[in-house]
Amino acid sequence: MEALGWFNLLFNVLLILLVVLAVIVVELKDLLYAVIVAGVYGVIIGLLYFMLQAPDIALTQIVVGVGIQTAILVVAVSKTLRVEEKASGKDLGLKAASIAAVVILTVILVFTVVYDFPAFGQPVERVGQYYVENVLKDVGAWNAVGAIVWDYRGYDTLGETLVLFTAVIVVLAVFKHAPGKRDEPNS
Amino acid sequence: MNFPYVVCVFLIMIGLYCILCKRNLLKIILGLIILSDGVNLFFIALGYKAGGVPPILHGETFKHGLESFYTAAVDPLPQAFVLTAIVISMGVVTAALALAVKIYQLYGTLETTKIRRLKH
Amino acid sequence: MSLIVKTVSRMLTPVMLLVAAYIILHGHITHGGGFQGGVLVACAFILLIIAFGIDYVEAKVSFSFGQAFRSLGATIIIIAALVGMVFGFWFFKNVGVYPYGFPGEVFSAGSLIIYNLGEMANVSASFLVAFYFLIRFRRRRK
Repeated sequence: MEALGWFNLLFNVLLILLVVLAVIVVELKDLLYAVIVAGVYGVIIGLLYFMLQAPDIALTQIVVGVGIQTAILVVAVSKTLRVEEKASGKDLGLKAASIAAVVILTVILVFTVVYDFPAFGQPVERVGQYYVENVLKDVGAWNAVGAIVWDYRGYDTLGETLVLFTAVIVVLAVFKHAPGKRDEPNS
Repeated sequence: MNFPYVVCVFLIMIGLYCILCKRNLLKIILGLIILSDGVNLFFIALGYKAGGVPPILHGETFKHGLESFYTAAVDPLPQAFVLTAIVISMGVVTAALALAVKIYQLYGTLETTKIRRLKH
Repeated sequence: MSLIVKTVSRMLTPVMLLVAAYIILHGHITHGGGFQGGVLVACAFILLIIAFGIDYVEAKVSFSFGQAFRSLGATIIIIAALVGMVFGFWFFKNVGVYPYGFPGEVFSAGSLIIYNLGEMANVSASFLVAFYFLIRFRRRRK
């Protein structure tokens, strides 16, 4: 029981730290610092996934959020501007309306989540129970998540693979030239 | 006590505020990342069971009997969905960054308000 | 980059590739799978790019090879899913066409290992190709 208390305390502290880091990422003017803080944010959220008993997602989040996302964002910052330019400050009305909409939506969603949702730790959906009980008989895999991803819901993952394929085709179409060629990109 | 859900709502709203109010394209992409992370964390928190174990069999579970594993394992379905969602959001971020870098090459700025005024 | 970075990355890259191979080949037994391992492979090559420069890496893993490897991964996935239709079942039919094997060993769970390898090829080459494009891009001010 003592261990569980420490576990809950650490869990809540990490959740609060997550919100603080998200605010820092949004409000920093220097984009390079913001990208590095976003890497730390990725580690924290990976730890939270691990504490929520999802090691698959924790592994994915840490590899993606610290490795490839930071690398691509740093390269993009180095190819563009490092410091955020000063806002022109002309459309203040639009900004105020956006902030008001966000605040109202936050209040509504917080009340929904606190009063209408089942308590944390007691899920109501029972669909996943079938997969847990039958994965060894149907597929023969020990990892239930991997079995769902590639066997029970294979179409879903096929679509995901094609989305990634298409995203890189978009990058190709935007930059036009093969990177092996040394000539200047045409305008 | 639904504190984790409240944190997920705050994350989603911080991302939405960043997308709506910031004028820098890279900042908007960072807001997109925060928003998708909030949604993913919400899904995983919905599938969590108090005192649960990961939905992965290993040698120890066969010793203790499979029945206790069936009752204690957390829901694997949201985890599979979130795995798909992380991949797709990374692909979207890559394509969006390519577009942002190309826009900087063509217009010389990343501010959305200034892109509107310039002619190429 | 400095000598320290070069030495450390030369020592670290084989370890990263080994961990990636473990994650991919045991994707149906322990946590992990094709996507995580593929991203780790891409990260290993990105570390090499940061340490030794883009020309050094592109002499070894060319852009065309990346494109071919990426397409090969997607093709492997679709062909492995079509095998079920050839034998009179449905798309993505797994156990029944592919062997059930002994659960807990590497060659078990039918076609999951084939899908994981195809996904690894697709994901790693996709991110590497996108990174080549981004890092080759030269900004041009008016």
